[in-house]
Amino acid sequence: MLGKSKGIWYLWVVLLIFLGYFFLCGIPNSVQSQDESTCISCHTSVKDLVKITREIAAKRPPQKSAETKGEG
Amino acid sequence: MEPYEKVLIDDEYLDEDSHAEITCETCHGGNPKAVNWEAAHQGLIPDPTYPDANKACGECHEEIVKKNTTNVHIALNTYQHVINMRASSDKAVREKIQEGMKNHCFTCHSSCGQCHVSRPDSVEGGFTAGHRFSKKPPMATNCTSCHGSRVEKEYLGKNPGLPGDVHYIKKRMECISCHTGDEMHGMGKSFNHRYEVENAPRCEKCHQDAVSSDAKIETHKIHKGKVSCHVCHSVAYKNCYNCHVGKDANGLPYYKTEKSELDFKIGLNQNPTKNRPYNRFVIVRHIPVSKGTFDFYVKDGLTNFDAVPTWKLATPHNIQRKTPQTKSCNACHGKKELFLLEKDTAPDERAANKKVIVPEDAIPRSR
Repeated sequence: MLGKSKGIWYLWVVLLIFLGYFFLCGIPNSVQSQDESTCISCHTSVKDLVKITREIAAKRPPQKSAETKGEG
Repeated sequence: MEPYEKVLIDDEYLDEDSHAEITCETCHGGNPKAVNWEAAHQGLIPDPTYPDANKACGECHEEIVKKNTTNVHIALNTYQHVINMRASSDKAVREKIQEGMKNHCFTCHSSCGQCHVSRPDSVEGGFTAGHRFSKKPPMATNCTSCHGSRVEKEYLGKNPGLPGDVHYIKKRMECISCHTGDEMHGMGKSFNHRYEVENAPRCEKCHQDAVSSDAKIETHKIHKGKVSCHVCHSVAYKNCYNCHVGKDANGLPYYKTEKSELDFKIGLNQNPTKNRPYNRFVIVRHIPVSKGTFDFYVKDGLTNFDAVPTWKLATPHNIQRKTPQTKSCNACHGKKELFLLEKDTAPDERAANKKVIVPEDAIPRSR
């Protein structure tokens, strides 16, 4: 009787270790850190990007010369 | 594309693309914990795959990255080679020309990222699919966005009055159908000319029947080894003249090309090679260059301008089964206007083109 309950207890321990392993390693590190990443939160938000790209465009000097003429 | 669209990451990229398992900062640097965009972008590497793709791609795509340094879309050694041939041998003059090339010619290049993730920088960039990696780069955003004025117009039939290439119009073949990944990635070997690239496309790879000794079409047998396929199967294509580079009052680089014209000219094959062994005729296209191209940087720097033709071997992307030349023997034979004659070249370019200009007595006689 005692041997059987000990066996079940061991089974639970193994199962917990197994689940713990998957919980820690099964989720890619990047997905965990992407949740906290400013890069992802901003670059997936149209609203934020519209605001920021307008801000950048207002500050940025022209990047291309108006003198370019003809086909490249 | 709106500026925000160029950098908007698609949810599908995060959910489905294996590259999303790598954190942003691993490739792009910057600070993912910063609270504003300015701080977040400190140390940002917009394209981590150029000029050296080893760190970003090499761990998984080692073989491709190793060969990639010789890829003509990245190394641009074909430009360098031809300008070196035209340039003065004076070291100081060469340095000035090099400065011009750096400011103008070398800004037009590709990279792993600029094919598989975004449009090339030279056409103002922007993700092609929300940062998803495209194994096969889309033709419209990544090939013809750069090769637009000549190849795209020829291939899609955008030149007024001229049909598109049969491979596109009838078969909807895209650039990569012929220009394979292996060719695009480079062979680990440098070439001075794009036509020397050993794994570049050749018509006969698919059309073996046209070049076999028992070819069914008589004209294929007669002209084999003498004229390139394009001589009979191309139509008019764009020729560009002159190119001057400089910097405007704000220090921004510009170029000016003076005119472009649709024309069709058959010239002599000045340099028969293993890939292009034709001992008589090829198609020639005028390229955008002039003796004064780099005058802004150094006056008359291209002192050996005549070393290379300005009418250059070409393979227009507007192949047709039937063309004006295929109508009859005399549609070509004896038809002077199809051939590049001395009178078709600018007087100051005649010396450069002497090996491709067709002497009138070399024009095949009418039958």
